[in-house]
Amino acid sequence: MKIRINDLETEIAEGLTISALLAERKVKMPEMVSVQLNGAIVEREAFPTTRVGENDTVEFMYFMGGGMRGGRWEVEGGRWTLAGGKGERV
Amino acid sequence: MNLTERQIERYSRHIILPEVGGKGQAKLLAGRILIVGAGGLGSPAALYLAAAGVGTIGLADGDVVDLSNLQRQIAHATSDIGRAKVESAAEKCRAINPDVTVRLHPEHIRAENALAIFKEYDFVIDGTDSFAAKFLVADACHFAGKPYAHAGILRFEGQAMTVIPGRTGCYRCLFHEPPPPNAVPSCSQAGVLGVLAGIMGTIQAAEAVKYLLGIGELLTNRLLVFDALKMTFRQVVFKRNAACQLCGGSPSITALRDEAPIACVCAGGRCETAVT
Ligand SMILES: [Zn+2]
Repeated sequence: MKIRINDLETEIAEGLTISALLAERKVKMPEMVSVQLNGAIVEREAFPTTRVGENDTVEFMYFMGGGMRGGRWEVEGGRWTLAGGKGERV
Repeated sequence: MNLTERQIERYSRHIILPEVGGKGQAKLLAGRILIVGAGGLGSPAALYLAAAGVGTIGLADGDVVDLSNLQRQIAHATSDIGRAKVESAAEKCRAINPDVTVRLHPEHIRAENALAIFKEYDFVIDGTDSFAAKFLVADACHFAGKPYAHAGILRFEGQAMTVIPGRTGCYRCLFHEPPPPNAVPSCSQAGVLGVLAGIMGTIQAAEAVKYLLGIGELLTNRLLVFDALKMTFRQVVFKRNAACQLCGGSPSITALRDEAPIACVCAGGRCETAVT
């Protein structure tokens, strides 16, 4: 089904929760992301139970400091890397 | 406040704007803006606010200028290395515009000094670097009732939003609390494109000027996200969160506190602690 993630139309499997969507989008540090679903903030505790539906609008908002210690971090092969560097789509 | 002939000439490009005029310029000259962090974001904000004739500019920063700052912290020159950032930035502001009174707070903002400093100003610009400091500024502005402009930068992206406490969504509405320390990465792959600090810091200065003038629409209930690689601005509209732990109906944060500083987990090498 189609949803919009950060203003980009995206095809995802049906029935995904926010947690599953974060995993599917390879966001391995969900602690660094705030999520808004159809204009409303999703509480972090509700990530595993909130499901995304057809034509929903999802915003991933990242912590940003001053150029260090924040942003789109994930672990790849045991190393910290920043998302966005290798074809990351969010 | 009567403008002198020199001031009318200096501010003529403001004064000919019907939305500003002599009255608006007088408001700017009577305005008091606090800039927390005289680094990447705070530098362009301070220089533009000084040029604009904001009468009182406060600079709060406990750091000294380091060589690695100069790639983006444009209020500081090579000859300023080792000087207090507030002194270096104040000198540039005064050189641009002697109308401006620059007040120095040569210390890091902490829970015990924030409110006393913030209450002296009309509007706050958050030019801090760390998550702990950003949450402290957000909380202090809430408790002091001061509107403020947030910005953050990382790599090729920036974000900004303006908060009017009690009236608009706040930083904690979006970002509830600092990420847990175990979520914090090493520093080695961070970094920031220097000009990003200029773009986002200047947006903060524009918000401060608009607030003093009382014109336009502030960047409230919106997170502006800038991508320098795509050269796009995107905005995420958000609502005030009724369950916000700071500004919600039954807040859990009822007094100012320091968030635990989030340490880098650099395995080796030099780790910058103050990157703004
Ligand atoms: Zn809030």
